[in-house]
Amino acid sequence: MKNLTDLEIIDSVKKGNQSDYAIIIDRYKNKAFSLVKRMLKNEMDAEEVLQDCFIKAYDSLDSFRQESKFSTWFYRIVYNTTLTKLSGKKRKIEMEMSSVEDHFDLESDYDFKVSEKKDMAEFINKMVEKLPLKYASVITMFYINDMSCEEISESLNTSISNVKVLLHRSRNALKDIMVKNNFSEELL
Amino acid sequence: MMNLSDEILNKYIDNELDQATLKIVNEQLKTSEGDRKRLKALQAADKSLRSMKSESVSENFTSVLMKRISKKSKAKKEQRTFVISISSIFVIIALAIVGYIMSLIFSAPPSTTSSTTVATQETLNFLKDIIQPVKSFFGNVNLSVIGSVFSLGLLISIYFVFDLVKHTKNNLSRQH
Repeated sequence: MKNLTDLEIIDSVKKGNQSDYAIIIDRYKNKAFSLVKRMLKNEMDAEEVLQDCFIKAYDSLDSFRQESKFSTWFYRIVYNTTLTKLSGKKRKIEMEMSSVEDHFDLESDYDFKVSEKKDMAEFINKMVEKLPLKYASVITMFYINDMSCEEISESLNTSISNVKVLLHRSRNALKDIMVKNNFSEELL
Repeated sequence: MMNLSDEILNKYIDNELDQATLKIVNEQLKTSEGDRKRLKALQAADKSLRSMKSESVSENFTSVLMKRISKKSKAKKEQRTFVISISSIFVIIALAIVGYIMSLIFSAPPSTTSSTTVATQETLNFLKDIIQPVKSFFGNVNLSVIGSVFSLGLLISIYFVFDLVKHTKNNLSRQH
């Protein structure tokens, strides 16, 4: 059963096999959690919001027209639901969301001391967490959820070139910090 | 000699350059140590981002969520059954009234006057019998009393509905 494709599982759920939805949950829970957590920057809220996302997706299965991959459709629900949660919490999110022209300066926020190589993963996570919401979402979808730029653009309802700009800027910002601290030498 | 921008280097990493540009960039990288260093740094950033691991939800996440989904669909089913039952009762009552009227029409004895006229008269008499007690009940004096009782009942019902919604919400949030 676990080897079935998403679409086959969804067909089964639609036919009334509700318990099969657990396979979909197990398949996406951790990757979606990474996205929600990075957007909310809060672990407790993230699980709650993720539950709402899965329920929303379950309730809307009939409207899933299979024109895109299930993952793309699902991550769109995750992204929009998390945004709604955030907008309810703080209006200032609009500032973060406005456009890709927004500036961010990771170096000014940078206060993490990398003493050993094993800290590198933590350092990267902290840096990604400091990125503005849309940048962090693109980075998580691209590097953790293994989504292509086309799929990300569909999920975020933005253009492919916009996704690439966000991806390149985030990578450049990280590169600048790594160069400044000679981390790139250690990694390559 | 062209200067390799970060944008070109990013595209180089993502394999998005066309053959002609790729050739030029490769030539440039052979000769420029500065560009090579920048590419190396960008590749290091890319490599470290690729090493990121997804985070894990709590162990019982799936079971808790499935319970929530199952409870929700059960409630939905019950709600649908309730609506169907109520609608059925109304339909049955409506059918019974229509049936009674039809039986009056068809059971009317044949006479010199047309059967339709007699049936209409019978129906009007029947309706008058129903309306008359209602009319007297809703007399001037009774009307205000009935209105007050009805409003009070309505207010109490609204209170209970809100109370029920509040309890349901609390129960749901406790399940999280």
